[in-house]
This record gives sequence, C-alpha cells and structure tokens, in this order.
Amino acid sequence: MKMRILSALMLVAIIFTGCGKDVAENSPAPTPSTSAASEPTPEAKTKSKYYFEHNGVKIYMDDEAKPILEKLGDPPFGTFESPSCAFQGIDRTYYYNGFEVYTYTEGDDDKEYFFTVRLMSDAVSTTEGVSIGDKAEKVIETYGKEYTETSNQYVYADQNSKLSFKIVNGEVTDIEYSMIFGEE
Amino acid sequence: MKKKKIISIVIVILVITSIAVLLQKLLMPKYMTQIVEGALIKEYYYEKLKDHDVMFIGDCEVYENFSPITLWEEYGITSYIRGGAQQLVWHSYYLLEDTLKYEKPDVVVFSVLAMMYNEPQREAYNRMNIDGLPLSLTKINAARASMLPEEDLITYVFPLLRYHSRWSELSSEDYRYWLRRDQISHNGYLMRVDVKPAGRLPTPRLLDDYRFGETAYKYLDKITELCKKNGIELVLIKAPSLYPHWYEEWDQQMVDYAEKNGLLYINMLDDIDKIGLDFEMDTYDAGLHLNLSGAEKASRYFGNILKSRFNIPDKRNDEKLKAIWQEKADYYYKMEQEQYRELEEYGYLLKFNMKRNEENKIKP
Repeated sequence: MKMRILSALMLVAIIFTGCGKDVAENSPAPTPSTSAASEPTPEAKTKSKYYFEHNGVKIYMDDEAKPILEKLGDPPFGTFESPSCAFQGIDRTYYYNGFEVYTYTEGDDDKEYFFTVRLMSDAVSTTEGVSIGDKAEKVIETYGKEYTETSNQYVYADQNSKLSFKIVNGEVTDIEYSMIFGEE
Repeated sequence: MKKKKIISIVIVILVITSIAVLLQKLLMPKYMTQIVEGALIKEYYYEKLKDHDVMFIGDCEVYENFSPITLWEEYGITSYIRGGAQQLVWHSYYLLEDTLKYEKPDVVVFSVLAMMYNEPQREAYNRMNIDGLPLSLTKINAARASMLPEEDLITYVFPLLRYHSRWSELSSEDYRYWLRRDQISHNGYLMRVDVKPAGRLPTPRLLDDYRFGETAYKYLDKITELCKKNGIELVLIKAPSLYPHWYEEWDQQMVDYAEKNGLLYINMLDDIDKIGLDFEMDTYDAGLHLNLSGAEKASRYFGNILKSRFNIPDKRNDEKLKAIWQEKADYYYKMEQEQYRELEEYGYLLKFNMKRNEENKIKP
C-alpha cells in the first residue's frame, strides 16, 4: 500500500514540477497563442526625450504602433514584412515620405511596437530640427556633448531610446531613432 | 520476501518511467502541421545511411536555400542540412559535435549570418535546436551554452518538466503524432514552392558596433578547430538572401577570418547574376529566403564549387546510394506536386500559414 502511494506521489511530482510558475508565461510550445519566449513588453517608466514627430504625430520607441500608424495614414511607398524564423513574431517596415518606421511583434502578432525610425532625406528632420546634410556641429549645438561616439556615429541615449547621427566628412548622413532593447 | 520487494520496486520504477516517457512524448510539441522547422533537428536521426560528403550547419539560410536533392542529381554529392530556426553559432557547434559521432563528412558548410548574434535570443529557438538532440553530454553542453537566465538545465534533460503545462493545450496533432513522425524535410531542406517577389527592402539600420561578438567568434573558432581536428574542410557561406542586410563590415570580417584560418568563404550575394537568381520568381517571402526554384539554382551553383574545389567524387553510379537517393527524390517531387496542389486549392501552403488556417478554419 505504501509503495502504491509513494508511486503515485512520485508520478504527480514528476508531472507537476515547475507548476509554481504562471502557465501562460511558462508555456513552452512555440505556437502563435503561446510563444515560448513571450515576455511582457518592457515599457519605459518615463517617456524618452528622444522621439520622432511628423505632422503632429509623435512616435516613441516601444509604444504600441497601430493607433499611431493610423494617424500617420497609409504609407505611400508600402510596407515590408520580415517574419522571424518559425513564426516567432514579425518585423515590419512602413515606408513614408522621407522616413521609414520599423515595428516588431511578439509571437501572436496581435500588437506591434515601434523599435526604429530611420530618417531618409532632408525632407524631414528630428523633433529638434536636425536633418540629413547638416553639419556635425549643429548636432552638438542642438543635443550637447553628452553623446557616445562609435562607428562614426554620435549616439544620444535616454530611457529606452537612442538617437544616432552618422557623421561622414563632418556632415550628417544618417539619422535614426531606435529602441534600447532590455531597457525598462 | 526481500527478493519480492526488490522486484516490486523495480516494477514500480519501470512503470513510472514508462508513464513519464509516454507523457513526455505526448506533451512535447510535435512540429508536424505548424512551425515545422522545429522538427528538423530530430529528423536527422531517422536517416538510414548517415554518411554524407557535405554537412551544412546554420540557420534558415541553409535549410531554406540549398537542396541536397539537387546536389545529388546534378553532381552526385551526398549532403545533409543540420539547420534549425535561428540556429546560433553555439547551436551549430554542438550540432556538429553530435553529428561527428555518427559520420565524418568531407566538407562542413557553415552559414555565417548567425555571427550577428552574440547571445541567446529566445527559448523557443533553443528548444527547436536542442530538444531534438539525443541525451548526451553534447546536448547538456549545448543547453548550457544556449540557455537564457530564466531557463533550467534540468528541463533539457527531462523536457517533461518544461512541457507539462501543455496538457491544457493538447491538440489533435499531439495525439496523431504521439508515437510517430512524418518526414518534414528533404535531408534537412525545407521545401516551399510559393512565390512572393522581392520589392523595396528596408534601409539597413545603423549599428553601434559592426564587430561580431566574442562569443560568436569563440564558437566559430571551435567549429574551425573541430573540423581541423577531424580533417574536414570548413566552408563559410553567406547565402543569397537579401534580408537581413549583410553589412560590408561583416563581410570583411569573414573575409579576414577565412584568410587567417585558410578557409574558403563565399558570399553568394556577390554572385546573384551568376547563380541566375531572379528575385521576382525565386523567393517565397520577398527576398528573405529562396523558394524551391531559387534553392535549386543556388545548389547548382554551389555544388559546382564544392565539386571542383574539393574533388568530391560523383557517386551517382553507386547502386546502393542510387536506390536511397531515388527514394528521396521521389518524395521530393511528390511534395513539390502536393504543394502546387495546395497553392491551387487554397492559394497558400497550409503548413506555413497558421493564421490563414485559423481564419479559414482549416486544420492541416
């Protein structure tokens, strides 16, 4: 009798080991409804001071994209979709006049979030007025000297976002807002 | 009396173990009708003759872009692709280590796109690349190298401990494939015949640092060493996928690495015209991966390099191999026809469009 009880207890122990964790969060099958690695999207406690604004619409990194994209209107140059291997989310790029907006989703594709805005021409500028083609000095005048310099870029970081200016021959050639992943 | 007790204990242990094994088989994801990429790693162990001239390791840029059937039909080269979804460099290293327990290929081809990652990304990808390995020290080391902080090593040894919570999500697929598996790939190649032309690609994002990371290099060094130790030629390859962007700075690092280590590095993006790729027709997802026609073109091109550079003999006259590969080719062409039929009937491929299946209430 003792043996039977012990056996039953062992079996139950094997099956339910780890049940202390939340099932939805812990479910390992990488299906659309239960991504193995689905994690709550980090949300910045305070909004970053670096955000892109176009026609009065503000884009903050890691903000939910759909309501903002609706305000921006249909991207005149279309979109590009890049599904992750084995359906673990989709990255999308929306092509607007003068800038590209990048979003990501987790496994279920229900919500998408901004992770990059890339300025493509001098038809648009940063919220503080720096455009492609401006002198490097203007970047420093506008944003200050508190930047890190890497790979010919001046990188300004705040909260979950960074603003990067690529400088070639003293001029801004690329501007990009991007999300700092893992930053809360 | 004592003997009886021992027998009882042994019986109880055997029963519990059997139940646990059966439960584990039931609860582990099957990857048969959706996310089929997850079935690739395990499928290798069902291979009847584990003796290949060429072994591919890497991410989707190998298992979507090269066709072993074409390499056989055009050059008599036997090959297998041990690719996995977002297979990272350390996954590839341990997969190669495990593969070498079964066979010693003449050439190993490593897809260098994975060098862009220096740390584990998602548990789902770890699972798809590691769970299919038989239990061994190699598997344990693979898990150790790959785990995210929230993962437990014990769950790679006893996956039931990780998958037990799937009991409430079990589907008909889990019961149908409880004790058996369908063949998903063609020697590791995941076939897709659908077409989605490449259009405008996103502008490459700025990176803070274009150097590959130390961990990525550490495991590339280990792959190089493992190949040298076993007398295997290692080829580094950048497959002809247009996206994610392959930066010039990355390319140069691979050129330098290959030169330093006496390896062949081929960036097939430089040879798109020579390969004959037409990204209006040869890709199923706008340039990320090649479809069947693209993979066959890439394989013809790459097979010629393999043959001429490494003198891999044409084995098409070997009767035993001929029979084995004929069977493989038959299944390949059968699947090709089946996929065209699905495209005609549904407008898309069922195994690769879960969302549309849900919308259309289709269970593949």
